[in-house]
Amino acid sequence: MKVIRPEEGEIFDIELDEDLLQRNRELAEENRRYLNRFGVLAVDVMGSVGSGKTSLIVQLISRLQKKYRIAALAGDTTTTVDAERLRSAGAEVLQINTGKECHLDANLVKKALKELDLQKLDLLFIENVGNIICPADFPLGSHRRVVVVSLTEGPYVVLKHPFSFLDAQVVVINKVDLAPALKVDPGELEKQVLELKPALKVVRTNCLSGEGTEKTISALGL
Amino acid sequence: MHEFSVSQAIANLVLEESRKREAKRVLLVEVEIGELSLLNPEQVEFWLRLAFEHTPANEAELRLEVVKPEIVCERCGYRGGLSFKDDPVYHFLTPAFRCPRCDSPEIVIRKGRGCRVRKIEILTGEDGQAQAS
Repeated sequence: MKVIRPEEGEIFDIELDEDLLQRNRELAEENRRYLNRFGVLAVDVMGSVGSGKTSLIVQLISRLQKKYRIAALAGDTTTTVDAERLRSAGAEVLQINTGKECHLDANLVKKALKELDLQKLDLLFIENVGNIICPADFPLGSHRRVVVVSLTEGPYVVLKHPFSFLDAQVVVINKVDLAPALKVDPGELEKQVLELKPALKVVRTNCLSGEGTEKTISALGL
Repeated sequence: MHEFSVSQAIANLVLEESRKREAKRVLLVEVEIGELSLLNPEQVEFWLRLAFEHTPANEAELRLEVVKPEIVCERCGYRGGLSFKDDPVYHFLTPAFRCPRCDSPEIVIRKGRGCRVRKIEILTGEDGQAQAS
Protein backbone atom coordinates (compact mmCIF):
# COMPACT_ATOMS: atom_id res chain seq x y z
CA MET A 1 0.00 0.00 0.00
CA LYS A 2 1.24 3.43 -0.84
CA VAL A 3 1.90 5.43 2.26
CA ILE A 4 1.76 9.17 1.98
CA ARG A 5 4.25 10.92 4.18
CA PRO A 6 3.86 14.63 4.34
CA GLU A 7 6.82 16.94 4.02
CA GLU A 8 7.58 19.39 6.76
CA GLY A 9 5.49 22.50 6.47
CA GLU A 10 2.58 20.77 4.89
CA ILE A 11 0.93 19.71 8.08
CA PHE A 12 -1.08 22.27 9.92
CA ASP A 13 -2.18 22.12 13.47
CA ILE A 14 -5.44 23.96 13.79
CA GLU A 15 -6.56 24.91 17.26
CA LEU A 16 -10.33 24.88 17.10
CA ASP A 17 -11.09 24.90 20.79
CA GLU A 18 -14.77 24.70 20.07
CA ASP A 19 -17.04 23.31 22.75
CA LEU A 20 -20.19 21.88 21.24
CA LEU A 21 -22.11 21.68 24.49
CA GLN A 22 -20.91 25.14 25.43
CA ARG A 23 -22.53 26.46 22.27
CA ASN A 24 -25.86 25.20 23.57
CA ARG A 25 -25.17 26.80 26.94
CA GLU A 26 -24.52 30.15 25.29
CA LEU A 27 -27.77 29.90 23.37
CA ALA A 28 -29.51 29.04 26.64
CA GLU A 29 -28.12 32.23 28.18
CA GLU A 30 -29.44 34.13 25.18
CA ASN A 31 -32.88 32.62 25.75
CA ARG A 32 -32.79 33.63 29.41
CA ARG A 33 -31.89 37.21 28.54
CA TYR A 34 -34.68 37.27 25.97
CA LEU A 35 -37.20 36.00 28.52
CA ASN A 36 -35.95 38.52 31.08
CA ARG A 37 -36.54 41.34 28.67
CA PHE A 38 -40.25 40.49 28.75
CA GLY A 39 -40.32 39.63 32.42
CA VAL A 40 -41.28 36.02 31.72
CA LEU A 41 -40.20 33.36 34.18
CA ALA A 42 -39.46 29.96 32.62
CA VAL A 43 -39.56 26.62 34.39
CA ASP A 44 -38.40 23.51 32.60
CA VAL A 45 -39.41 20.04 33.62
CA MET A 46 -37.38 16.95 32.90
CA GLY A 47 -37.93 13.33 33.87
CA SER A 48 -38.36 9.83 32.50
CA VAL A 49 -41.16 8.76 30.20
CA GLY A 50 -44.25 8.30 32.34
CA SER A 51 -42.83 9.99 35.44
CA GLY A 52 -45.65 12.54 35.48
CA LYS A 53 -44.19 15.66 33.90
CA THR A 54 -47.36 16.54 32.02
CA SER A 55 -49.58 15.75 35.02
CA LEU A 56 -47.43 17.99 37.20
CA ILE A 57 -47.61 20.88 34.74
CA VAL A 58 -51.37 20.39 34.35
CA GLN A 59 -51.74 20.68 38.14
CA LEU A 60 -49.50 23.74 38.24
CA ILE A 61 -51.34 25.46 35.41
CA SER A 62 -54.76 24.89 36.91
CA ARG A 63 -53.68 26.38 40.22
CA LEU A 64 -51.65 29.25 38.84
CA GLN A 65 -53.72 30.43 35.91
CA LYS A 66 -55.62 33.00 37.93
CA LYS A 67 -52.38 34.52 39.13
CA TYR A 68 -50.28 34.38 35.97
CA ARG A 69 -50.65 34.41 32.22
CA ILE A 70 -49.19 31.02 31.34
CA ALA A 71 -47.91 29.27 28.23
CA ALA A 72 -46.21 25.93 27.82
CA LEU A 73 -43.81 24.36 25.38
CA ALA A 74 -44.40 20.64 25.04
CA GLY A 75 -41.35 18.74 23.87
CA ASP A 76 -41.91 15.31 22.46
CA THR A 77 -40.43 13.11 19.80
CA THR A 78 -43.59 12.81 17.76
CA THR A 79 -47.11 13.19 19.12
CA THR A 80 -49.12 16.16 20.37
CA VAL A 81 -50.78 14.15 23.17
CA ASP A 82 -49.11 16.11 25.96
CA ALA A 83 -49.72 19.43 24.26
CA GLU A 84 -53.44 18.68 24.11
CA ARG A 85 -53.52 17.87 27.81
CA LEU A 86 -51.72 21.07 28.69
CA ARG A 87 -53.98 23.09 26.44
CA SER A 88 -57.11 21.72 28.06
CA ALA A 89 -55.64 22.75 31.42
CA GLY A 90 -55.90 26.31 30.17
CA ALA A 91 -52.54 27.39 28.82
CA GLU A 92 -51.40 28.50 25.42
CA VAL A 93 -49.32 25.57 24.17
CA LEU A 94 -46.71 25.22 21.50
CA GLN A 95 -45.59 21.77 20.48
CA ILE A 96 -41.93 21.07 19.76
CA ASN A 97 -41.42 17.78 18.01
CA THR A 98 -37.81 16.71 18.03
CA GLY A 99 -38.30 13.83 15.61
CA LYS A 100 -35.78 11.32 16.82
CA GLU A 101 -33.79 13.52 19.12
CA CYS A 102 -33.82 12.52 22.77
CA HIS A 103 -33.88 16.00 24.31
CA LEU A 104 -34.86 19.60 23.73
CA ASP A 105 -32.02 21.98 23.11
CA ALA A 106 -31.62 25.72 23.48
CA ASN A 107 -31.90 26.27 19.76
CA LEU A 108 -35.32 24.60 19.50
CA VAL A 109 -36.52 26.60 22.48
CA LYS A 110 -35.19 29.77 20.90
CA LYS A 111 -37.24 29.08 17.79
CA ALA A 112 -40.31 28.37 19.88
CA LEU A 113 -39.89 31.58 21.89
CA LYS A 114 -40.05 33.59 18.69
CA GLU A 115 -43.49 32.13 18.05
CA LEU A 116 -44.88 33.25 21.39
CA ASP A 117 -46.15 36.69 22.25
CA LEU A 118 -44.03 37.07 25.37
CA GLN A 119 -45.51 40.45 26.16
CA LYS A 120 -48.72 38.69 27.05
CA LEU A 121 -47.06 36.14 29.33
CA ASP A 122 -45.77 35.89 32.89
CA LEU A 123 -44.89 32.24 33.19
CA LEU A 124 -43.66 29.62 30.75
CA PHE A 125 -43.44 25.90 31.39
CA ILE A 126 -41.12 23.89 29.19
CA GLU A 127 -41.73 20.17 29.21
CA ASN A 128 -38.74 18.24 28.02
CA VAL A 129 -38.77 14.99 26.06
CA GLY A 130 -39.33 12.05 28.41
CA ASN A 131 -35.77 11.16 29.29
CA ILE A 132 -33.90 11.53 32.53
CA ILE A 133 -30.45 11.36 30.97
CA CYS A 134 -29.84 13.49 27.90
CA PRO A 135 -31.66 16.72 28.80
CA ALA A 136 -29.13 17.19 31.61
CA ASP A 137 -26.49 18.11 29.03
CA PHE A 138 -28.69 20.75 27.45
CA PRO A 139 -29.76 23.73 29.54
CA LEU A 140 -32.56 25.59 27.77
CA GLY A 141 -32.38 29.02 29.33
CA SER A 142 -35.08 28.52 31.92
CA HIS A 143 -34.89 30.12 35.36
CA ARG A 144 -35.75 26.96 37.25
CA ARG A 145 -35.34 23.32 36.46
CA VAL A 146 -37.56 20.66 37.98
CA VAL A 147 -36.63 16.99 37.82
CA VAL A 148 -39.55 14.61 38.23
CA VAL A 149 -38.85 11.11 39.46
CA SER A 150 -41.61 8.68 40.31
CA LEU A 151 -41.78 5.65 42.52
CA THR A 152 -42.52 3.43 39.53
CA GLU A 153 -38.96 4.06 38.38
CA GLY A 154 -37.75 2.04 41.32
CA PRO A 155 -35.54 2.74 44.33
CA TYR A 156 -32.36 3.42 42.36
CA VAL A 157 -33.52 6.10 39.96
CA VAL A 158 -31.65 8.87 41.81
CA LEU A 159 -28.46 6.89 42.41
CA LYS A 160 -28.31 5.86 38.79
CA HIS A 161 -28.68 9.35 37.38
CA PRO A 162 -26.70 11.73 39.58
CA PHE A 163 -25.83 14.08 36.73
CA SER A 164 -29.47 14.72 35.96
CA PHE A 165 -29.80 16.79 39.11
CA LEU A 166 -26.88 19.12 38.43
CA ASP A 167 -28.88 22.09 37.15
CA ALA A 168 -32.08 21.43 39.08
CA GLN A 169 -33.46 23.49 41.94
CA VAL A 170 -36.52 21.38 42.66
CA VAL A 171 -37.01 17.62 42.64
CA VAL A 172 -40.51 16.21 42.59
CA ILE A 173 -41.00 12.66 43.84
CA ASN A 174 -44.24 11.64 42.21
CA LYS A 175 -46.74 8.81 42.66
CA VAL A 176 -46.21 8.66 46.42
CA ASP A 177 -49.65 7.04 46.72
CA LEU A 178 -48.15 3.91 45.15
CA ALA A 179 -45.49 3.48 47.82
CA PRO A 180 -47.19 0.59 49.63
CA ALA A 181 -47.80 -1.35 46.41
CA LEU A 182 -44.33 -0.73 44.95
CA LYS A 183 -42.43 -1.02 48.21
CA VAL A 184 -40.30 1.95 47.25
CA ASP A 185 -39.67 4.40 50.07
CA PRO A 186 -40.01 8.05 48.98
CA GLY A 187 -38.06 9.06 52.10
CA GLU A 188 -35.10 7.03 50.87
CA LEU A 189 -35.22 8.73 47.46
CA GLU A 190 -35.39 12.11 49.15
CA LYS A 191 -32.35 11.25 51.25
CA GLN A 192 -30.39 10.27 48.16
CA VAL A 193 -31.32 13.50 46.38
CA LEU A 194 -30.18 15.62 49.33
CA GLU A 195 -27.01 13.60 49.72
CA LEU A 196 -26.20 14.42 46.12
CA LYS A 197 -27.03 18.11 46.26
CA PRO A 198 -28.13 19.51 49.62
CA ALA A 199 -29.43 22.75 48.10
CA LEU A 200 -32.24 20.96 46.25
CA LYS A 201 -35.83 21.38 47.34
CA VAL A 202 -37.66 18.06 47.39
CA VAL A 203 -41.43 17.75 47.16
CA ARG A 204 -43.50 14.56 47.32
CA THR A 205 -46.54 14.55 45.06
CA ASN A 206 -49.40 12.64 43.63
CA CYS A 207 -49.96 14.56 40.43
CA LEU A 208 -53.25 12.81 39.69
CA SER A 209 -54.92 13.92 42.91
CA GLY A 210 -53.01 17.18 43.18
CA GLU A 211 -51.34 16.32 46.46
CA GLY A 212 -48.11 18.28 46.83
CA THR A 213 -48.90 20.83 44.12
CA GLU A 214 -49.01 23.77 46.53
CA LYS A 215 -45.68 22.71 47.98
CA THR A 216 -44.21 22.50 44.50
CA ILE A 217 -45.45 26.01 43.80
CA SER A 218 -43.76 27.39 46.89
CA ALA A 219 -40.57 25.39 46.19
CA LEU A 220 -40.50 27.09 42.79
CA GLY A 221 -41.05 30.46 44.45
CA LEU A 222 -44.18 31.13 42.38
CA MET B 1 -27.85 8.85 24.16
CA HIS B 2 -27.19 11.98 22.17
CA GLU B 3 -23.74 10.82 21.09
CA PHE B 4 -25.03 10.64 17.54
CA SER B 5 -26.03 14.29 17.26
CA VAL B 6 -22.97 15.54 19.12
CA SER B 7 -20.68 13.41 16.93
CA GLN B 8 -22.40 14.75 13.86
CA ALA B 9 -21.75 18.28 15.06
CA ILE B 10 -18.09 17.41 15.70
CA ALA B 11 -17.78 15.89 12.23
CA ASN B 12 -19.40 18.92 10.59
CA LEU B 13 -17.05 21.25 12.40
CA VAL B 14 -13.96 19.24 11.44
CA LEU B 15 -14.98 18.75 7.81
CA GLU B 16 -15.99 22.37 7.34
CA GLU B 17 -12.67 23.53 8.74
CA SER B 18 -10.73 21.14 6.54
CA ARG B 19 -12.70 22.25 3.48
CA LYS B 20 -12.04 25.89 4.25
CA ARG B 21 -8.34 25.18 4.42
CA GLU B 22 -8.37 22.95 1.37
CA ALA B 23 -7.04 20.01 3.30
CA LYS B 24 -6.31 16.84 1.43
CA ARG B 25 -6.58 14.77 4.51
CA VAL B 26 -7.36 15.21 8.14
CA LEU B 27 -4.67 13.44 10.14
CA LEU B 28 -5.80 13.97 13.68
CA VAL B 29 -8.91 15.04 15.56
CA GLU B 30 -8.53 15.79 19.24
CA VAL B 31 -11.71 15.83 21.32
CA GLU B 32 -12.10 16.46 25.01
CA ILE B 33 -15.13 14.99 26.78
CA GLY B 34 -16.07 16.15 30.25
CA GLU B 35 -16.58 13.41 32.79
CA LEU B 36 -19.76 15.10 33.98
CA SER B 37 -21.26 15.18 30.49
CA LEU B 38 -23.54 12.34 29.57
CA LEU B 39 -21.47 11.33 26.59
CA ASN B 40 -19.87 7.95 26.28
CA PRO B 41 -16.47 8.34 24.53
CA GLU B 42 -16.64 4.93 22.90
CA GLN B 43 -19.95 5.77 21.29
CA VAL B 44 -18.67 9.16 20.17
CA GLU B 45 -15.73 7.42 18.52
CA PHE B 46 -18.02 4.93 16.81
CA TRP B 47 -20.23 7.64 15.31
CA LEU B 48 -17.28 9.79 14.33
CA ARG B 49 -15.73 6.91 12.40
CA LEU B 50 -19.00 6.49 10.57
CA ALA B 51 -19.42 10.19 9.90
CA PHE B 52 -15.89 10.42 8.50
CA GLU B 53 -16.35 7.58 6.01
CA HIS B 54 -15.74 8.71 2.42
CA THR B 55 -14.39 12.04 3.63
CA PRO B 56 -10.83 13.40 3.91
CA ALA B 57 -11.00 12.48 7.59
CA ASN B 58 -11.52 8.83 6.80
CA GLU B 59 -8.20 7.75 8.26
CA ALA B 60 -7.78 10.43 10.86
CA GLU B 61 -6.49 9.45 14.24
CA LEU B 62 -9.16 10.13 16.82
CA ARG B 63 -7.85 11.19 20.18
CA LEU B 64 -10.65 11.32 22.72
CA GLU B 65 -9.72 12.41 26.18
CA VAL B 66 -12.00 12.32 29.21
CA VAL B 67 -11.50 15.42 31.31
CA LYS B 68 -11.90 15.34 35.08
CA PRO B 69 -14.29 17.84 36.62
CA GLU B 70 -12.97 20.95 38.27
CA ILE B 71 -14.95 22.98 40.75
CA VAL B 72 -14.62 26.21 42.68
CA CYS B 73 -16.16 26.49 46.13
CA GLU B 74 -17.90 29.79 46.68
CA ARG B 75 -17.54 29.50 50.43
CA CYS B 76 -13.95 28.46 51.10
CA GLY B 77 -12.37 29.11 47.73
CA TYR B 78 -11.34 25.51 47.15
CA ARG B 79 -10.39 24.90 43.57
CA GLY B 80 -9.93 21.37 42.30
CA GLY B 81 -11.57 18.06 41.74
CA LEU B 82 -14.91 16.75 42.85
CA SER B 83 -15.11 13.94 45.33
CA PHE B 84 -16.73 10.70 44.33
CA LYS B 85 -18.17 8.09 46.61
CA ASP B 86 -17.09 4.62 45.58
CA ASP B 87 -19.91 2.41 46.65
CA PRO B 88 -19.13 -1.20 45.80
CA VAL B 89 -22.83 -2.05 45.87
CA TYR B 90 -23.48 0.00 42.76
CA HIS B 91 -20.17 -0.46 40.94
CA PHE B 92 -20.25 3.18 40.19
CA LEU B 93 -18.55 6.29 41.49
CA THR B 94 -21.32 8.51 42.80
CA PRO B 95 -20.37 12.16 42.66
CA ALA B 96 -21.17 14.46 45.55
CA PHE B 97 -21.92 17.94 44.31
CA ARG B 98 -20.37 19.72 47.25
CA CYS B 99 -16.99 21.05 48.29
CA PRO B 100 -14.64 18.22 49.29
CA ARG B 101 -12.89 20.58 51.73
CA CYS B 102 -15.67 22.41 53.58
CA ASP B 103 -18.71 20.40 52.46
CA SER B 104 -20.47 23.49 51.16
CA PRO B 105 -23.06 22.82 48.44
CA GLU B 106 -22.32 26.20 46.88
CA ILE B 107 -19.95 25.12 44.21
CA VAL B 108 -19.47 26.20 40.63
CA ILE B 109 -18.46 23.58 38.12
CA ARG B 110 -15.74 25.04 35.98
CA LYS B 111 -14.71 22.04 33.96
CA GLY B 112 -15.97 18.62 33.08
CA ARG B 113 -19.33 19.29 31.48
CA GLY B 114 -18.21 20.10 27.98
CA CYS B 115 -17.39 18.37 24.75
CA ARG B 116 -14.63 20.29 23.06
CA VAL B 117 -12.94 19.83 19.72
CA ARG B 118 -9.51 20.87 20.83
CA LYS B 119 -7.60 20.77 17.58
CA ILE B 120 -7.24 19.06 14.26
CA GLU B 121 -4.22 18.33 12.15
CA ILE B 122 -4.57 18.52 8.41
CA LEU B 123 -2.44 17.74 5.41
CA THR B 124 -2.64 20.33 2.70
CA GLY B 125 -1.92 20.03 -1.04
CA GLU B 126 1.65 19.69 -2.36
CA ASP B 127 1.87 23.38 -2.97
CA GLY B 128 0.91 23.95 0.64
CA GLN B 129 -1.42 26.85 -0.07
CA ALA B 130 -3.26 26.63 3.19
CA GLN B 131 -2.35 28.97 5.97
CA ALA B 132 -1.89 28.02 9.55
CA SER B 133 -4.17 29.82 11.94
